[in-house]
Amino acid sequence: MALPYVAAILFLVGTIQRYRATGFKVSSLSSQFLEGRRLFWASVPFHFGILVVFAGHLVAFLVPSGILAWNSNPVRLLVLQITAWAFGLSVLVGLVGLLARRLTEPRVRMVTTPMDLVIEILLLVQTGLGLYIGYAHRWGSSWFAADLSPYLWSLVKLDPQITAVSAMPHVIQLHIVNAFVIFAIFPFTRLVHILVAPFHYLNRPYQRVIWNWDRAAIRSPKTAWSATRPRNN
Amino acid sequence: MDVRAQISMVFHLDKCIGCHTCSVACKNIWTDRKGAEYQWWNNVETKPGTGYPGKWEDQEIYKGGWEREGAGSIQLKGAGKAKGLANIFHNPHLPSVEDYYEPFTYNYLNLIEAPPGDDQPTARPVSLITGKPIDVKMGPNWDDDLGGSPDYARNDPNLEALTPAEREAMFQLERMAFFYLPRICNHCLNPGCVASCPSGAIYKRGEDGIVLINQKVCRAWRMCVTACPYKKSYYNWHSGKSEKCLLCYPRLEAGHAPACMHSCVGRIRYLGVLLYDADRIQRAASAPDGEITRAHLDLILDPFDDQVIAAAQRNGVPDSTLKSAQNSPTYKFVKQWGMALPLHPEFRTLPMLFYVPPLLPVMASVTQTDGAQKERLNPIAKTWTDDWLYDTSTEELWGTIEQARFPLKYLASLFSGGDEKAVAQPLKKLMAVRIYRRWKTVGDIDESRVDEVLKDTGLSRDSAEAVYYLTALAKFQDRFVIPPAHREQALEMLEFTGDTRGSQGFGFLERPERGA
Amino acid sequence: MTDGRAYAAYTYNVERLVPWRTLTGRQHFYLDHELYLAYGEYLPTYKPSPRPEAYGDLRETLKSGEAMALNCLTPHGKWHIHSTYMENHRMLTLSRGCEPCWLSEADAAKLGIQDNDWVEVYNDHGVYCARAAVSSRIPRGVCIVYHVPERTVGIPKSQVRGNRRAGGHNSFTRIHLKPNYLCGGYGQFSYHFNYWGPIAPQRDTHVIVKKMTKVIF
Repeated sequence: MALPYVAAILFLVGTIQRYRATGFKVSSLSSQFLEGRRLFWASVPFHFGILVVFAGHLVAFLVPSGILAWNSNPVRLLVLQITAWAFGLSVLVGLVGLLARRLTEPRVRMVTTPMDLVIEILLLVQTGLGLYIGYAHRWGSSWFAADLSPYLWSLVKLDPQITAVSAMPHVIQLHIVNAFVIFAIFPFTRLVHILVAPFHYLNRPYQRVIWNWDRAAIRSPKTAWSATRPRNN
Repeated sequence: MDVRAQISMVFHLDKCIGCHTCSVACKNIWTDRKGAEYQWWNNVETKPGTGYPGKWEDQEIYKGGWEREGAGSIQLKGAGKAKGLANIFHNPHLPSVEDYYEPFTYNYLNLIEAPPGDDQPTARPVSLITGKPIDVKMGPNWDDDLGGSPDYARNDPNLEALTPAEREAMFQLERMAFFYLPRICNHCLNPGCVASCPSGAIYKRGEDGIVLINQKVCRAWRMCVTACPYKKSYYNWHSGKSEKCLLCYPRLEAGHAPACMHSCVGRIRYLGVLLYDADRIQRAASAPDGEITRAHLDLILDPFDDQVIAAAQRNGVPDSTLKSAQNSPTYKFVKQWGMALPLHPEFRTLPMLFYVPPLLPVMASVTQTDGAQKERLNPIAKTWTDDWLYDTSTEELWGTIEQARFPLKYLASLFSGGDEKAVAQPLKKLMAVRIYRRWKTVGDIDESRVDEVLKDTGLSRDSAEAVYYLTALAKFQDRFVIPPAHREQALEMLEFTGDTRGSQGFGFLERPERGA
Repeated sequence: MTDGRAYAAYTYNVERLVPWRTLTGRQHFYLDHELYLAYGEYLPTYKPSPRPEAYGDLRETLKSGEAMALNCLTPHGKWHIHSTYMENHRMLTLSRGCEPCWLSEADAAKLGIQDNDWVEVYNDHGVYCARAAVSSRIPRGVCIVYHVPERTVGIPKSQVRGNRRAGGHNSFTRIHLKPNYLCGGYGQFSYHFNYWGPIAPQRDTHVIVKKMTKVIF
């Protein structure tokens, strides 16, 4: 299956090209200014939920042995599953809220692009599938770590082993395919704001002063006029 | 001593007639675009009033500015690293479009395209956001001239300092007064917007102190809107970027005055360079409550002081900038004469625009008459319910500042963080200059009285004359003194043009539009 | 604007000593015309405005039993002077989206009108529809309309006039001529129709202000 590679290439090339060509448009595109109350009940559960759920998938992918070791105790397995499912539900609630708000608030509709709806529906499908899988195909954290992580790693190693995946139920396959589709169109949606999440804020001083030229150097007779000049942004 | 230069503005509020020409000039140049219709980088408010956005001065609502936490430490009230990142998915203190107003236009096309009917058509107001008909409920200048005073002027946050009786007196027809307050971005020394921006898109230019938002780096985390206590950072709902007053820097660099200043009918604005000591910013911003105004004004350095000049030169401040600083009309008003004060210094952002507080309404008193007027006029005229007599006799004309129609407490709440002495000082000086000029032109005042009031306020006859000149006669060159931006360096002040060769010069290869 | 100086009226008369366009060629307050002497108005003179009954602006309107006549003034607003025009989009945004009718707090409370309510202002001559601007700077018994709005811009139909679009410029004001406005052919005095337009005797009238029952565009 070539889809993962198409997705990866689109994701990488698309993101770089998107940032180079239309970097100005990389923004969280907040619509809170136009409508704030409903956004609170949708955006907050969605974002915190998806942070946890995504982190869960990432950990299972990166350190499957750790997850398996954690799950060796049934109580811990249950805690993990319920926690993950609860956050998944939070994502679903948030997404439904976001979509409903987008469609019913006249002002928010004015700043809605077709791509916003596409990505929200894809995410909604993905979340719905994920919750269904979590409920119907129990102990996903274990079988993800045992079966899917090797598959994903095989993709990374450019040696795709799809036997484990092709044996899986169709819902799970759909979940995987949809995930790659989301990755593929990621650069062309508002999701790009994830990549500019402002973590560097934490370790910069509060105030920023920018000098457009070196004041002292420019006045010094010793300074030779250079062809390269400081860029201000 | 880290000497830096700041382009600063002084507003002489006695001269403001509230015509909003500045607002219109600014709007036409900068914010006549989709998503920016609601933004008025320059707006003029009627005081008392709640302003735009509604009650912006009430930081219990908007959580703007800095808060002092113990000695020498300040924190952003509603943003900052912890609070900002925790609230990044939904900022609970963000003003929404209703807090400003829903921008509107009129369905003018209906006037010519309406189907035949039994009556003349009308152009209904429609929202500039949705295009749907709306009921206009708020505007950028809604409480103009005390319009809707029961809902707006009476809810002015600055009235909290007053007793109920004093408040009521401000709305009694015979005693009331109002003045106009033009506002633009204050280009602060300790800007809340810069500190709150998670992306680091906002910065202060070192050379002239202008605070700008880099549109390419802004990612719409919207914290600056909350953190600015003056609500002068605006979120463009269409482009997904925040925008603010840029002190018309492209005009300044070309030697022109900012549009608001250039168009000012009352010539109330003065623009010039101030030198300040950047080393002491933090100490001044975290000064104790009562001392904040003093600490703020102490940051501004004397451009004639040899030490200051030497330090400035060491710092690379060009001689032309120093010369402008010495001729600066803002330095005269703010420091030399001590007649201008910052707006709401208690927000602790160290705003670098200053206001000469309004004195005019002090100049007449109203006394209740015995009703003889009423008896005489009622039989022949419409019912006469006016029992008051407007008194402008000389004795009353030079009454004390404390009897002003604006209680000192009210002005102090606006311009000195509640310090009545600090706000009485400029008012007394304004009065002294008037008394001096009255003696000179009309001559019905004793010379000894003139000398006395001048001595009281620390003005000499020469400086009184200079204040009079700069207030009443000043030509454009006197009101607008900025150093050349050094066009050879100004190129660099914009952008390195090499990386956008073939583009339009400001670095845009794409239309500044909303993304997907 | 030349030499940093804005244009001001009468500059020529003051600086180039062009005679003033008066009988004497000078500025003068004193008007020595017989009619002005007869009426005691040879110097600027305060005369109280007549009682509303004398005007007769409300004779028919009052028969309907409506209460509370207000003295309606139409002074120059700060955005309505000669070359400035407030009914463009920019100025309407900077005011209230329409030309409001200013009412005092006390009268508004008595009439049950809140700030920004739609009101109808009418008398025997005409009607116009506007929003109310309730303000403490308006004296009791007075309402102020700086300009009668264009009914083509965002104005609902008048309920007083039976759901018809009503009102327009000056629809409820009329010119009250005083005899001394009629004197002419004497120095600066001359009589033309509507020449004595926007002055007190015309702009001082009486109206009824009523909250609009239904807002229909």
